[in-house]
Amino acid sequence: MQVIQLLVTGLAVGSIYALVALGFVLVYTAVNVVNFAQGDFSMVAAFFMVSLVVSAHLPYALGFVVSVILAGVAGYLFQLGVYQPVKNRPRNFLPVMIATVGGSIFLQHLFLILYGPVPLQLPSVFSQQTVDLGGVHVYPQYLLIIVVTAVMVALLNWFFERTKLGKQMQATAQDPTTARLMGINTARMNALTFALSTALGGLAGILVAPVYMVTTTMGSLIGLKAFAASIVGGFSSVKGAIIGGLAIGIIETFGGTYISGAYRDAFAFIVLVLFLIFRPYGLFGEKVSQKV
Amino acid sequence: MLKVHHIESRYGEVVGLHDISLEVNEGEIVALLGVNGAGKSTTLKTISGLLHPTKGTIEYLGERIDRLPPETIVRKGIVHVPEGRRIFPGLTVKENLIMGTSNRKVSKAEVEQGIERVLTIFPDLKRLMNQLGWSLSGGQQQMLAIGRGLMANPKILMLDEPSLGLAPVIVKQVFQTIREINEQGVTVLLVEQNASMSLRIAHRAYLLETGRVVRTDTAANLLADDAVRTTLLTAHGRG
Ligand SMILES: Nc1ncnc2c1ncn2[C@@H]1O[C@H](COP(=O)(O)OP(=O)(O)O)[C@@H](O)[C@H]1O
Ligand SMILES: [Mg+2]
Repeated sequence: MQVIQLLVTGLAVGSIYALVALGFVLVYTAVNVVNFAQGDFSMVAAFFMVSLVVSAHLPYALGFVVSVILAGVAGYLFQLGVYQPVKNRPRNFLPVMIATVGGSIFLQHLFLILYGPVPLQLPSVFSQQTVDLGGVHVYPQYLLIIVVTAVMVALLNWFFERTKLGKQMQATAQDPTTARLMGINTARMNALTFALSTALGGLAGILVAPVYMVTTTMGSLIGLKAFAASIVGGFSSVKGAIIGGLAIGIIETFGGTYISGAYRDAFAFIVLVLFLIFRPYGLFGEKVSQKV
Repeated sequence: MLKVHHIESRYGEVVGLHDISLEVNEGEIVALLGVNGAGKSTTLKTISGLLHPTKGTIEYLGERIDRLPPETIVRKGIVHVPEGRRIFPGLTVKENLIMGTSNRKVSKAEVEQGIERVLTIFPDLKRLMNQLGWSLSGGQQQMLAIGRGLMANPKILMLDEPSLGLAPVIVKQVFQTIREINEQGVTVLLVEQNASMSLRIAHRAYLLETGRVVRTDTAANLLADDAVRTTLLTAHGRG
C-alpha cells in the first residue's frame, strides 16, 4: 500500500514539474531560448492567489482562475520587457538567457518588497486529512493536482491539435519566416506562447502552494526541477515535458523515502547530470546540452 | 499593378541588390531570370517585406508598400512562395494548406472551398491530406507550397524557383500548372534558373546579373535572341 501512496505523491509532485516544464518547452520550441524565470511565475501566481482568496476573500475557484490569468498577463509583460528588447541581438541565445535570469531576480525581489520575507500560507480547499481510498491514504490536494494537470494537458492537446490558432503557433515555432509570409503575426504568437507558458507555471504554483509555503523563492526550486524534467524529456516535445516531469516527481519521492530524505532535492539533479552525460538528447528530443 | 523603382537591398553590409526596377501588370506572367546569386530571391524578399530596400520604392496598386512588414503585404494579396518550398514539417498537408489562409478572416466554408480549388489543380495532394509535411517528396512539397500560396487568394503570386530539384516530368507539370493558375486570373512573378521553360509560359522577362537588371523584353523576343540563349541557357545545360 505504501508504494501506491508514494506513487500518488510522486505523480502529484511530478504533475507540478510537468506543468512548469511544459512552459520551458513551449517557449524553447517557439523562440529557441530558455526562460530562466519560468519557475518564478509559480511564485507570482501563488502570491496573487493568497491576496485574492485569503486577503480579499474571493471564492476559491474564482481566485484560482484569476490568478492563473494574471500569471499569463505577467508573462506577457515579461516578454515585452525582457525578451523583446534583446531578441534581435546576433546570436541571441546568451543575451536572452541572461535577460531572463535578470528577470527572475527582479521578480523575486519585487515580490519580496510587495509581500515581505515571512512565508505565507494558502489553505487547501480540502481538509489536511488524508482520505482513505481502499486502504491507500492520500491527501486530497494531491488528487486535485493530478486531476487538474490531466485536464490541462487534455485542453492543451485540443488547443494545439484542433484550433487554427494552435496550428499557427506551431507553424511559427517550426518556421517563423514562412509563417510571416503566410500572414501570421509571429510576434503575437510568441507573446502568446510566453503568456501560456507562464500561466501553466502559475497553475502549478497555485496547486502546490497548499502543500508548501508561499515564499518569494519557491519558484527557484520548482523551476530547477522542471528544468531537469525538460532535459529528461528532450526539451522539444509536450509529451517529453510531461513524462520528464512525472519521472522526476516519482524518482525524488521514492528516493526521498527509501534512500535519503535529507537528499530528496538532490535526486532531480543527479538524474539531470546523468542525462546530460549519457543521454543529452533526453528521452525524446534533440541535443540541448550544448546550449545550457 | 506592381512597380519596383530603383531598389537597393542589403543583408547587413552585403549588398544583395544594387539597382532593380521592374513592373508587373495585371494578368501577366513575368519571369525574373538570372544565374545563381544574381539577386532573384532578394528581389522577391524585398517585395514581400522580408527585407526593406535601402534605396528606391515599391508601389502596389498606387500605394507604397516598401516599409510594410510581410504579414501586412500578404494581406494585400501579394503572396510569396519562397525558395526551397518551406513546408511546415510538423503539420499535415491539410494544416499546411489552412495556414495559407492566415492572411485574412475566413469561414470554414471558404477554407473548404479553397482546399477544393487546390485539389482540382493538384489532385495528387488529395490522398496525402493527413500526412506530415516532412514526409512528402520534393515534387509533392512543391505542389503543396504552390497550393498553400493559392489558399491566400493571391492577386500576385510570386514563385521562387518552383522547378528546382524536381524530375523533368514534374517540372513540365509545374510549369503547366503555373500557366493554368495564371489563366484563372492570378498574376504571376516567376523566379527561375530554368530560362527556356520560363520563357515559354511567360509574357515578359527581366534578366538579372549581380543585383542589376541587364535586359528586359517580351518572352518571345528573348527566346529568339541568340545572345540570351547562350548566356542563360547554356550556362545550365538545359534548353
Ligand atoms: N542571407 C544572406 N546573407 C548575406 N548575403 C546574402 C544572403 N542571401 C543572399 N545573399 C547575397 O545576395 C546576392 C543575391 O542573392 P540571391 O538573391 O539569393 O540570388 P538568386 O536568388 O538570384 O540566386 C548574392 O550575392 C548572395 O550572396
Ligand atoms: Mg534564389
